[in-house]
Order: sequence, then C-alpha cells, then structure tokens
Amino acid sequence: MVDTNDRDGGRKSLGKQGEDLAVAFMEQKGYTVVARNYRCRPGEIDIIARKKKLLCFIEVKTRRTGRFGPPQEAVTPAKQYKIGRAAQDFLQRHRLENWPARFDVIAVDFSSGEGIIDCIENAFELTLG
Amino acid sequence: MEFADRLRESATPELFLQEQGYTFIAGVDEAGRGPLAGPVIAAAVILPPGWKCTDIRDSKQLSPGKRQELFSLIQGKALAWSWAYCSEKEIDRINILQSSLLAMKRAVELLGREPDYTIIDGPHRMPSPIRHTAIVDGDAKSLPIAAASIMAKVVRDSIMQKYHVLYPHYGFHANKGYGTREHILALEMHGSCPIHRRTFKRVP
Repeated sequence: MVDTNDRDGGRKSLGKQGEDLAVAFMEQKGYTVVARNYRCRPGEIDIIARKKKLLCFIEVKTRRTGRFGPPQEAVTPAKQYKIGRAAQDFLQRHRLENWPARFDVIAVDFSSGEGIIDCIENAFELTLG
Repeated sequence: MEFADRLRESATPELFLQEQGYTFIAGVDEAGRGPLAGPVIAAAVILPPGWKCTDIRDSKQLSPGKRQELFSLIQGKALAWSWAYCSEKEIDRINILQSSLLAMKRAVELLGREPDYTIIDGPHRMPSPIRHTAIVDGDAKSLPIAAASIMAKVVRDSIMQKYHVLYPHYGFHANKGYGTREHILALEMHGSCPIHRRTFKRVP
C-alpha cells in the first residue's frame, strides 16, 4: 500500500527514533520515565523523567545532519518559554509544585549513521512570565 | 548599555574588544558536557590580533580530520594556548555545569601569558575574578572561542581514544564517551567502568 504520509512519516520516524534513544539513555542513567509527549494547552514536553525527588523536563532535538548547527541551539527562547509553561501545567496538575525540577536538552545526531546522544543537563532555566 | 551587554550583543566580540582598546583576547570553550563517560576538557587560546581564518567555526560541524588540521594550524599561530580538565570524580562531586566552568577557569590560569580580556562560550560566567564575559553562541560569533572549541574537542577525543585501550567494551574510540545504542547496551552487559560519571550510573 502506498503510504501517503511518506515524507512527513519519514521525518517523524527519525524524531521518534531519537526520542526512543533518549528514553533508553535516561533509563540507563537510573531515571524513570513518567511521561512521553506530554501535551497541554501551553505546549508539549517530549520526555518527563524522575530520579528520586528530582523531575527532568527533556526536549529532544534530532538531526540527520550537523549542517545547521548543534541541535540544542535549536531550542529558541520562545520554545523554552513554552516548555516552561507546559512544565508548570504538569507540576500543578500533579501537585508537584515544590519538587525540584530541571530542564534538559538531549541532542541526538544521526549524521554519522548511528545516533549520538549529547545530553545537556540544565540546558536552560525556567522562564515564566 | 553596559559594557558587558554591548559585548554580548556584538556580532564580532573580539573586534568590539579591539575597538575598546583590548589587544590580547583569550577565547575559552569546553568539550564533554554531555557524554556518559570521561572528563570535561576546556581550552583557552590567544590568537594574534587581526588574524583571520574562515575555516574556524563551530567544532561540532567540522569533520575529525578537518578539526585535527585546524588544531595544528591554531597551535602554530596562537600566541598562547592551554587546556585543562575536570575529572569524572570532580564532575560527580560538584556537577557537570560547575565542572565545565572550573575546567575553563583552570585553562585560563594555565595560559602562558595574561590576556587583556577573556570571552567564554555559554550563558554562565566562570568562578573566577579575572575580567571575562560569557557569550551565548560565542563559538559561532567569535574566532578565539571557536578556536578554543576545536582545541578542546581534539584534546578530548584523543584522551577518549586512549581510554578505549583501557576500557575496550564501550566503543570510546568511536563514541568518545557519548551515549549511543551500543554504548547503552555495553553498560547493560558490562556495567560501568571507572571513567563513567556516577550521575549516569544506574545505582548511585
């Protein structure tokens, strides 16, 4: 059967591969993944993970080539703001406002064929306006 | 606007500094904030004032061969250069961000001559009293920071290649300590080795 979403699907599957790899990576680091693709009105968070009483909100950036610069630089201030608002939504919904939280960017670079994971802990601070 | 703000917003920070009367400008950057294993390396470099090289840009976008070539070029041209590290053990003790900043501070202190001004990559300042400014996207905007970035990466890659001989299970020669599917599988099969950062181990 012809996949009419092929072009879009191809791109999505790379993003999905990157996210799967990032999940395996966080689990190896001893974190428990509590949510994937958390969607709410203010925005979306790719992965939410915890270790003991520390929550990590993770944005995964996947790239096929390194030509457009390091993927973590693609998280613009506007995007950081959205992630921050979505994190706040998650924390309030689950009554976790007092939990320490961190914002990480996991960059997965597929330019060499295999995915190479670069995890930037505390990539940015919570920006709430 | 304050001096540091004008410097941060300048499209070419080292030219701005030269216009302000600073001659010897050190660029500083680190490599190895994101991997599972190995040290974080920082490099500092003072280039001859006015020297240009369009090939020098973000180290992550260059091939390993090109990085090595530029490394030799920078080594030859630099008025001073140095590198320093923070070990996995220090990273475990004071966290990765503080370790990268400490490695950068050490690299500057090891420079053979004192810079008039120091610019470093990133949003965070070093825990150091020397006159310096942190510039976001500094490796893209500034030649000395881009040069330091190349040097840090080349030094770190060669250290990880040596670690591969000591700890051959994890593919450090290829992944340089960064997470890959093979690296994660090797951790599951063999557990961690002495250069894995404890914060990345399953059992802390």
